[in-house]
Amino acid sequence: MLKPIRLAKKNFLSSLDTSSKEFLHILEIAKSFKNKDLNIELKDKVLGLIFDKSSTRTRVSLQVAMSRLGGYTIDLNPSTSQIGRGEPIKDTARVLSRYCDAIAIRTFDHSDLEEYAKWSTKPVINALTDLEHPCQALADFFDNSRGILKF
Amino acid sequence: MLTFIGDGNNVANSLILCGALLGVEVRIACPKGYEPNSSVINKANKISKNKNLLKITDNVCEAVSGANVLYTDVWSSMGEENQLEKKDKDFYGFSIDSNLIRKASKDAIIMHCLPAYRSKEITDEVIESKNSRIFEQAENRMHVQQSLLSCLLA
Repeated sequence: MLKPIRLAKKNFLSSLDTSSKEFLHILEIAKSFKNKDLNIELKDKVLGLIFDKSSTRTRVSLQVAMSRLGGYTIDLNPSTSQIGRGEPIKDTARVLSRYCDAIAIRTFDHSDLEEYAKWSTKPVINALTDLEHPCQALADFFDNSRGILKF
Repeated sequence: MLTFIGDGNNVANSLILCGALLGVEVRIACPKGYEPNSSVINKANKISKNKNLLKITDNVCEAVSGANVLYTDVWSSMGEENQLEKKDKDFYGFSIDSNLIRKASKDAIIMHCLPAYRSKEITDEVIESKNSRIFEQAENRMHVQQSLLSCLLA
């Protein structure tokens, strides 16, 4: 049975954070998920969500994806936590690394995301910055029948 | 070949980088002054073996000619609400409508990362047309992110 292979890089901040081989592997695994012939458990793993901007698709699809894997998401809303209220990113990142197994961040300045990822010991996912939206582009190359869109 | 029509924004940037990574031809049609980030273009050209894979132009018809995928996004992203009026004016002619689709490849599919503003970047008719993949595209976000999470946390 197809098994997810750990990506070489810890983070997914840019569309160039995977090799082309890894990119295709992610889409291949996605195809198995979509066809319901793969069952992967990330039981009790916690994905933290830091969203400085509103989101429908990215937020909900990450939440449902995580729950389908048997894990959880927690909302780290900037208005109710220290993020964006003056605590240095390097402090927040190190603390949340001890609570969460991964973090998805949507923010304005791409360099804030990079700063966070530098200090986080857990994987960081770019859920949109002013510079890139790699989760979107990754999914856009997915094709249900072939795994990848052939152009 | 994928043609993105509209603002050279973060989505356009990531599509450019994916195109370079996978060896897929990407064309960006945008008004002058709304080109994608130059560091992204440089990165794409650096990793791409074929320099002709990426084209940036303000000529929509030329960009669409022969395309297999027509892709667009909102003209004014989150946080740009104050530029709405100016951008609506600047992006005149950069809408995906049924006339434009006729210039693309016969079975070209339509993509939009949503939210969509009908009768601005795309017409309602095109969103609801048989070649529109827009809602399947949205669904795929979930499957692909489920996979991404598995590959990051496996």
